[in-house]
Amino acid sequence: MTKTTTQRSLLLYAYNECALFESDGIQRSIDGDPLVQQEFNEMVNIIQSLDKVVLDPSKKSIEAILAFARTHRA
Amino acid sequence: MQQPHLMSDRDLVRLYQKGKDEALTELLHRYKQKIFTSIYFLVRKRELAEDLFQETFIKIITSLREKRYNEEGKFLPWAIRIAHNLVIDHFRKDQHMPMQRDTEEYSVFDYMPHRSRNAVEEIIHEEKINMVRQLIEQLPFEQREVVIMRHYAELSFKEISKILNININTALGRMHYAILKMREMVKEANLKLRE
Repeated sequence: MTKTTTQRSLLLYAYNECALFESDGIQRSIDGDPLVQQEFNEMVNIIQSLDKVVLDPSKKSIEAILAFARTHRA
Repeated sequence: MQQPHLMSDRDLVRLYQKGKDEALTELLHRYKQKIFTSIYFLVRKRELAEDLFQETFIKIITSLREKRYNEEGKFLPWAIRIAHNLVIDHFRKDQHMPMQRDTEEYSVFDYMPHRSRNAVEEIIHEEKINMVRQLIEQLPFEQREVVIMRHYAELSFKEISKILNININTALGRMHYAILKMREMVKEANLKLRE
């Protein structure tokens, strides 16, 4: 397995997007190689942190949208 | 009638098309953060993000009213695709595609309150969120685009590659480089992301 394939597979595995038949092999390479395990853990750490950032639009924007919806009925 | 917050996106769309405004209100509140966050990370300017967010929903409302929404698709990816197209149109008109980080000052945003945390934990949590936000903002546009579509539009890499008209390996490569870059920045700054 080339380095690129490993990284691609790890990424798909981290996002739960890899084919079922590939999952076991990837998990084995994570369990069997401390370097791969470290790379995977750091990848997952970043991925999980990305989901924490959520921003809210202003109330003014929400009110403007709802006002538009009320005045543009079918 | 079933409570709007318990209804599926598909049922809410149908209800809105029948003239029930509360269905649109529910869709707006259900997805406002994901759509707004996606727009904000693409343009990195609060005021512009607010304008494009409103424009996005005006397009959504018009499309739903004119029955131009394809029920086979999912509402959120469809909405984020509208937002993404508006952002690209804006940059085309402006003739300025922001491939590199600019030097804009950041303002404080309203975050979802986490009432289970105490005040100190809340401050630490908000600092971490703020830090991750800044990490995302420092990514090149093409990498940010893939990060946003994967994390906020809930699209698979295959779907992202179709929307952006790129090879799936290119989409994966951009995501991979984004993660590497963020990891590098975290290490350089000696930051800890884990709670």
